[in-house]
Amino acid sequence: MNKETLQLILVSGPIASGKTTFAKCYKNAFLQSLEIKGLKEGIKAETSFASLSTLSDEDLPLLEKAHRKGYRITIYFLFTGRLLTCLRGRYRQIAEGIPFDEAEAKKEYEHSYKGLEEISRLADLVFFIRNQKEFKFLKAYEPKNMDKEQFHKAIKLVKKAVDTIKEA
Amino acid sequence: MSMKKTLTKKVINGKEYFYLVYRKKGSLKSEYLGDASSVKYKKYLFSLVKESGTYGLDKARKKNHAAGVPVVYVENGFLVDEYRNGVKEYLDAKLKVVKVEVPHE
Repeated sequence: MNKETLQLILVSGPIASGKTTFAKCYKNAFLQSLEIKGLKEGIKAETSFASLSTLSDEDLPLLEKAHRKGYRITIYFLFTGRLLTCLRGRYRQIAEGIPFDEAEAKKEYEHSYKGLEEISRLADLVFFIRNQKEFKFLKAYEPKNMDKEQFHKAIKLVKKAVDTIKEA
Repeated sequence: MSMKKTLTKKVINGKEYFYLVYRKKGSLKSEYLGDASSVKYKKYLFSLVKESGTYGLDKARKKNHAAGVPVVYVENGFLVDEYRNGVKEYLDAKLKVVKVEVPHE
């Protein structure tokens, strides 16, 4: 009998994009009731797990490692928009006392998208979800079976759409 | 009114496959969704739990309002600051308030 494929379900997106909330809402649906662990810890244990990530530079080598170990990687990426991310972060600081540095957040925001582009060669399935008021399922991609440029174009299109706030 | 569809599972060679079974003009129809990792199946799950989509906003609303700050989201391309008293401020890209909505009694 075939050895069961290891699953890594990654909820990702910029700061204050709703990763934790998404994980709570869909724990038994999209996260398939898998335990939520840190990437390092989960890969070390060599079991299927779910994780939350902003796709920062530190996370990418870990995801490469997971890929080498034969994990099937599914990503739920949350798009929120730069201004909304900053405002949510600012209000979260007041409401919950979570430290927030706007300049750093803006940098990390762009970094998350770069991370998503980078990870396209490792991920088996990527779901785009818009979270500006509620979770809206946009599209699903299999980056390994599509042109790299085409996938990057898809990211840019959604990013542009969520970043656009009307001019009065 | 939406048609009532029942989710059924078939196990073939130890692998689970999902179908939606429903009645159309008296006859029984089935719609194949694929295995647990298929996009169609996930979309179906998503439709079931769609109401959870507002959970995030409700949670943020409660927390922020308790702390005395508005909850912020995007509506029709404008940023919206929603305050505890129900007042909504619509902001543009320069964070300038362009419209204020006061709830009716």
